[in-house]
Amino acid sequence: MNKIKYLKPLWWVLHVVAIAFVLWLGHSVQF
Amino acid sequence: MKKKIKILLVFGLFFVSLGGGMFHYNFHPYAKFAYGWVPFIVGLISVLIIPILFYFKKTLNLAYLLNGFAVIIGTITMAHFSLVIRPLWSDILILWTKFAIGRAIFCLEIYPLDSHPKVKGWNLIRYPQMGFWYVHLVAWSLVYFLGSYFWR
Repeated sequence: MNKIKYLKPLWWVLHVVAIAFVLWLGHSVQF
Repeated sequence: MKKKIKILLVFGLFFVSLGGGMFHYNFHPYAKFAYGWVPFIVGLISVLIIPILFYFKKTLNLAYLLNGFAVIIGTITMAHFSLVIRPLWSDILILWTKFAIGRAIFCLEIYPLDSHPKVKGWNLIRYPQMGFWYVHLVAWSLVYFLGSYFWR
């Protein structure tokens, strides 16, 4: 595994997109 | 024999996903709520795409990631449902079969069959170790909770 992978743009993009998606999921799922 | 085992596991993954997807579809057709397309799309990806991605070594990492996160999404949303509406804990346990099969295919491809890889320190919670999934399960649960509790 690459030690500097946290500095790569893709890593940040994936995390921002994933956090936004899961936040939205939590917000929109109303049982 | 290794190739045979791998094909059997890919089929196992396909069948458990198809069964789960069909089972699921009976409960909420995708168009009923705003979030309804999430289980539908994740189910389609799980049935049609992930088993194929697992079959090819080039796409093994992508398959392993998609499979793991599909299981995490299902676990969190069904746990939410279980706490609010009615218990679905057995469904969550069945869902983790999908995770175990995916990890089995991944390990079969990555490690020699008789190896005992020694992982220590930070690497325990980094990809592709189990700790990576524990951390992401906790993190996704937390973010989901924040969205559910504070953003209304």
